Amino acid sequence: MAISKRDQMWAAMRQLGSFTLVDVSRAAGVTEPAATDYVKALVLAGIVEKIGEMVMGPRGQKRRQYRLARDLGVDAPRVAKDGRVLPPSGRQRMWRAMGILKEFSVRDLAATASLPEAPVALAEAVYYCAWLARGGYLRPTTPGRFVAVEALRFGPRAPLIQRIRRLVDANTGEVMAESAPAEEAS
Amino acid sequence: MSTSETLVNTAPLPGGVAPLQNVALCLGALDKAAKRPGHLPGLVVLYGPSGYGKSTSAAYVATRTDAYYVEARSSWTKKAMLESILTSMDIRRGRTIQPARTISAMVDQAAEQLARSGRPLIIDEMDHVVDRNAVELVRDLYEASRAAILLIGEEQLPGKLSAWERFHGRILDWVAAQPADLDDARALRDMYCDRVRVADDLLADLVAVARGSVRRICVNLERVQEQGQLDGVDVMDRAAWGGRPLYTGEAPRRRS
Repeated sequence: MAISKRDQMWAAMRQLGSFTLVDVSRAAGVTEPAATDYVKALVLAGIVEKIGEMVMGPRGQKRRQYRLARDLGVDAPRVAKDGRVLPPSGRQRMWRAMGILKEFSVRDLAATASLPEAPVALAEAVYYCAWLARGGYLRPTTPGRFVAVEALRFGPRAPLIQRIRRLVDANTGEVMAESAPAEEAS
Repeated sequence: MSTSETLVNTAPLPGGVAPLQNVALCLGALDKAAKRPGHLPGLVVLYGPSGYGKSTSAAYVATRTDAYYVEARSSWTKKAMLESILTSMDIRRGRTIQPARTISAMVDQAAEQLARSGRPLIIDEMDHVVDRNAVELVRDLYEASRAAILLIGEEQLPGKLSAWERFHGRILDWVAAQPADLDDARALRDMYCDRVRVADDLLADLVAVARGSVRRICVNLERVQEQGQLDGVDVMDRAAWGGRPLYTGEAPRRRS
């Protein structure tokens, strides 16, 4: 689960160049509605454009053809449904900032990772740092301060905190069912 | 997502925190490079003594401009340098797009990503790149991508770079990191001092003793706050602090 669906769709679109929604969903292994949502948002953002009118499918259905208008490189663009291009998530910005600062207070981190239009709340920084410390990515020094462990920075992507639900038998303590982990909003 | 949209923002930070002067300088220079007319070069150098907050500035600037950031190491070979840059772009082993095999193909790969994404590149500890004779590689990256690139290094960096004439000529702006002043100290106080307020007169002493270093001001703000909490006061001024020594960054003198 190293790569998100959005990444897979973006990689597929880059590879295909021009495509239908079905092409994207097949190549990326995602559902058609998922491909539709992302492609539509990219169209509104001006990153993908509609070309041709309709193309005949195998049984005579009509399909719209799309094309990558602006290839922005390896990262799947973050776009809202209405086509607004969003900045990297707060956690993503914190992850990068802690790699540069190396030794920091949670307050430093929140201020450094904040954008005027997307501030990082102190509580969010505290929460994320606490989880990263549990994962060994950060070592606490004095209260509220951390050192980033460089040996564990494997790449630019911020570690995710996932939500997972389980059904546990209270009699035996055994896990009887488990949900697929959902990514927390960041 | 063109660069000119994402760059530049010298507005006060959220929570009413004003940016440090070096942050503003650095952001301004990189923005100028990103928005430069086609015939101008796109490399910017930030240099100055350690402790002046260069890396703090880099962290702010990276957030504001969505830049790729790498820190050079003394052990860097040319290949290691390119791998590191590619990793910062998420082009690494085990991903959909993997690093190319040869150095020149890696340069192309990194340059393509810079050009397509429109994001700037920040190379910190640039002195190591110079020492390892990899300056030309940075020039290649720049020539191929025309991206805005910020190089950060020690005080001697401009002198060292002058040995590479062809590189030197591509630098749009040399930014000397400024020593921390009272305004910076106020900004740091607003950011750090949530437990005890530090009065302006004491703050001026902190600035004097810091000799330009943001780091020393931070250490002392921390100490003043701790002492204030021990003393159970809300405000620490010069009188409340008394004659207690401040951290100067100098090794303690030997007592005779």
